[in-house]
Amino acid sequence: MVKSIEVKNLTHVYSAGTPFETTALSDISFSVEKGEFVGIIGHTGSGKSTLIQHFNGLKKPTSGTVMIEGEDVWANPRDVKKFRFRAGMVFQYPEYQLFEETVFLDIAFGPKNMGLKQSEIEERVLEAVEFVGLSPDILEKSPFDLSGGQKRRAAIAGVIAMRPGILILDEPTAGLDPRGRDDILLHISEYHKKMNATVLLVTHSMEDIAKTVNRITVLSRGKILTDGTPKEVFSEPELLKSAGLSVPQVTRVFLRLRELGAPVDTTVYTVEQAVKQLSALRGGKV
Amino acid sequence: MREIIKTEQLRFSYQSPETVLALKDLSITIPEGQFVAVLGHNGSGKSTLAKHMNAILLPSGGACYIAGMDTRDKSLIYDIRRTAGMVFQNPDNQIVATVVEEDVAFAPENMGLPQKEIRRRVDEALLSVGMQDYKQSAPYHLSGGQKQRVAIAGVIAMRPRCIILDEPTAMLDPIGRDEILSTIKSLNKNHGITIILITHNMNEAAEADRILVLSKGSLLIDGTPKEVFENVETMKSAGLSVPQTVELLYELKKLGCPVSLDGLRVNECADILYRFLEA
Amino acid sequence: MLQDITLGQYFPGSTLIHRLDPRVKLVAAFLYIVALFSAQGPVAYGLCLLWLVLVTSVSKVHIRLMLKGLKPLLFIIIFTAVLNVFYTPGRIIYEFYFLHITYEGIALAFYMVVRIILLITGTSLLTYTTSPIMLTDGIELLLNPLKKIKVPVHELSMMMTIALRFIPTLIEETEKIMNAQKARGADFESGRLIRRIKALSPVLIPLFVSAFRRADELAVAMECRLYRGGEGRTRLKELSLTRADYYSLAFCLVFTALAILSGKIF
Repeated sequence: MVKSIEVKNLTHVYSAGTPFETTALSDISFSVEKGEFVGIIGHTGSGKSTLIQHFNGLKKPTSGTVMIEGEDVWANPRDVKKFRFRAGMVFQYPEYQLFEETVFLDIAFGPKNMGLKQSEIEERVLEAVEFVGLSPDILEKSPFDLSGGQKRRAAIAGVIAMRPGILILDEPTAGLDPRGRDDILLHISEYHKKMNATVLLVTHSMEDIAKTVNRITVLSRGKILTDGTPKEVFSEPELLKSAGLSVPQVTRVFLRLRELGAPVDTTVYTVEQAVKQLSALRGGKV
Repeated sequence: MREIIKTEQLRFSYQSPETVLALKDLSITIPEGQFVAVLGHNGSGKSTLAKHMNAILLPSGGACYIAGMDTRDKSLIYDIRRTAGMVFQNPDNQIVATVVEEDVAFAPENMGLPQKEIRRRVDEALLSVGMQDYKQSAPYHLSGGQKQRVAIAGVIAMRPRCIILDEPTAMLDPIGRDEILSTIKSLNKNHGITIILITHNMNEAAEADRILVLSKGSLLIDGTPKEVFENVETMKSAGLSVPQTVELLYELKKLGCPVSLDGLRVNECADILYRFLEA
Repeated sequence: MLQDITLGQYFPGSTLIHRLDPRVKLVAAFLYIVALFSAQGPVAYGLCLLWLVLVTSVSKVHIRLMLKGLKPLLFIIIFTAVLNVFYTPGRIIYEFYFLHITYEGIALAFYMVVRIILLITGTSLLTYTTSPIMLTDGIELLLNPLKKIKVPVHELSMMMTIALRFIPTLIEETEKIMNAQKARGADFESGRLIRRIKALSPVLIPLFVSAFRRADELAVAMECRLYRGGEGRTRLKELSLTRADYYSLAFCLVFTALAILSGKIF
């Protein structure tokens, strides 16, 4: 089957040839299968933003290739725009990009740029609004009259309305309260399941990532530090620490339990798993 | 201990016929030297409360006192703001100058202090947030955490007795968050400055001496982190969460395990679980 | 693209030029411009160039940086040159229908280009070596006499300081918003001029909204830090003239006089 994303020997250098030259990505090879839900983590400056902007052709590789759904993004530079619709990208604080008179028009901006028919646009806007859990009543409102959380959802709907096969989100939960965070993650998971979409989630929150994704890629200084299932990645707390990251709190509790001499398996990363394991250790009778 | 902040039946509404109240008859007292975290969902009134502590907003009803000064008294406004400094969420929107030390000097300059005194305060403030090596840097080139520390230094230079931080870590990465949290703790422990930290992050709040939980403009829970987080159901119904440590203990307890919920820190939680496994 | 704009940026340093009183630097820049615009003949331009080279080498500003500042203005420079070459009457060297290239035209174009280059590099040297706060402080002090006729000198200089402070922030923001809209298929590069201008509204509207939000937050933050206008404000760095300042000023005056006189003599 064709891979959703396939990156080969990708290097990206900023301000090449000036004193400010910096290598943001060096020789990265990485691929994502169709339908995967991948978390990308790394501290600020690790190259994650640069990496994801290669997937929709916003950034051009200094060297190496980026294939999206089997096609080389830069094979024909005039055609780059079509990848914007295949790999939909939600930037950090997307609510700051709202600009239209009504929420409807704003969400319709992407589909309109795709050159779709009006009826198709309307259908997609309604679908997108439902995906992010907004009521259709707000479609005729000005986006500037919405609450903070609603604005965030409307902005995400603007990308979902393009029905991208690959959905990339950069810190979609930043600045939200715990309920708002859980809500957004739930809606993203729904899109992932219902559309069989490939989803890439860039975040700082280990707890968020542990709850949602089935694979984690860790970037550090422009390279991939480690890549695997959450279980595999969180079983290397020292490695994560070296990249300025940490494992979920519940994993740390289990690491401490092991130190104390309890016969626990330290590869847990959600509360659910922890409860299961502890009750099993007590012979299932708790 | 002396009280530094006191609100009496504090009420506030953003609209003039008071249809929706952002704060509903809130009465709280904060003694000097305490590190208080304020939690609440979006729209719970946290920021509104913070803005009252600095006389940015004035009560629609009731009163708010800072070190005994009534915020409604216009003649006291500068003394109030000098006593209770304010740090905001976005460091970019509170840094005025293009060089770090000139920004930190902004408040002392406004106070009309002599040049030598300004110099002393700037150096001292930068040292207390660990930014002394960046005196001459342009804020634009600093990381988020560093910028936010400069913003804190800019407030410290007024020598306030209290600092109110309105979601200072919301826009930062985990490293920046840790920087700010340890800066806040050191200001509290080493300089005796009262800290009011407004946050969405439960693990940050767990570091405080006391947590106030707001919901729909009212005080829902008030207590030490351990006391507050034991109310798992109440916290969740207020749109909040609890640290994973407490959540784990809570889930076990729900299954009938004899564990207490006061294992907030990783080590405490592990100890409780260890005893439970041994038993 | 947008990061290429170096005009108005400050590059910290501790050379003599960096340490000079901003008032002196402002007056010097003014004298330099006077010299440049009254310059006639190669000797006068040579003197201005010498002046610039001297100051640049003392300030240790990298030559590449000086040239980089010219890049965004390249179009204006070429445009001026072409205009001058073709539209100056005089001894004709080459004719092509209605276009004539004259000896005077070439000479004038050459001098105009030299003048613009010297002007831009010279004045950008001022901002490269002077922190914006110092610069606005200098302007405020120089304009202080105008306070008597009710010109809000302090407010104007504070506005300038803040504008300078927010230039990089807003440039970064513009790029972010452009990228976000591009990700939704917005097209800023193709189409006719009108279409391109229309295509900018998805960028300009959010940019304005954000600029107002920032302005609002900044105003509150400034009030929280006890700002109440220029009245009673003191300074971390009170400006005071040193011997180096007086010498530099004298040096600039001599150079200006020489540059003006040289045109008359030679």
